[in-house]
Amino acid sequence: MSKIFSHILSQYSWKFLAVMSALVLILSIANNLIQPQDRKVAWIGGQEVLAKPAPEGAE
Amino acid sequence: MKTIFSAILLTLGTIVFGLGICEISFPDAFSWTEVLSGIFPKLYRYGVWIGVAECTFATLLAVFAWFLDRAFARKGLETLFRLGIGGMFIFASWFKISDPKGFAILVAQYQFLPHDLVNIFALVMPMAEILFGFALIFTPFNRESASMIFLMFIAFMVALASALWRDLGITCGCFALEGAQDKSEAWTALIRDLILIGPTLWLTRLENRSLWKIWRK
Repeated sequence: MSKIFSHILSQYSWKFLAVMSALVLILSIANNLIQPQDRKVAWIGGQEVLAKPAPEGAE
Repeated sequence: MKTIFSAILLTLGTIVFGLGICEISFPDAFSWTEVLSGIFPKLYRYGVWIGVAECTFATLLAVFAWFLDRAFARKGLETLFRLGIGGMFIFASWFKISDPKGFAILVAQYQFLPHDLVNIFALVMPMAEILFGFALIFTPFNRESASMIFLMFIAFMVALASALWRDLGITCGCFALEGAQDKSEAWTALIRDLILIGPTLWLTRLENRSLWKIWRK
């Protein structure tokens, strides 16, 4: 099983994946920086969980 | 002659598959079955299952095309899946990239990630979607891009299944920033992901080559 797994992993171009990961990180940061204030998010943190809508028919 | 029939079947299959995925993804906005609603007024209730039936029928057409001309069908399917799945990821990521806060609010509703990781996830995930979507279409790194998209599908499915299991009553948030409203949409998103994960897995096993190289002799 581990042989199959390592064989699959050896077929990947890790250079491509590393470049893509770096691009993802850089563009994610840049995207947050260029957003208007009301669309920006704090780098570390989360958002409020909204109240669940009432089921149909409930008052 | 066999190639022509194979091409016709693949074209028909693509149209039917596209209709099926749209029927599952946008049951309110898109439904060709509306034309039949005059005869069958309750048909709208089964939009998702009609979509699943369309995808199954499209798979059958692809199987017939495969038996008619295996080499052509393989090339055709690889091209269609790369364009379709890559295009879908680019389309789905656009609204998330343009409103990180709105997407972060949506991610928070899943109550799946630790609170402090929600924002960073909402920033990184859509960028990975768009970049690997483009990479699947425009680069020869088919295996790597398809594998990353496969992992994203797994992540979406786990999150959706978890939301359904906990009865959170939220939307998928796959193609639009909607609030926590309609549980049925999470089901349809899970079904759509289950359908699309098969072709993605198939793409991970193919050799790396660009789209135009597929058709070069």
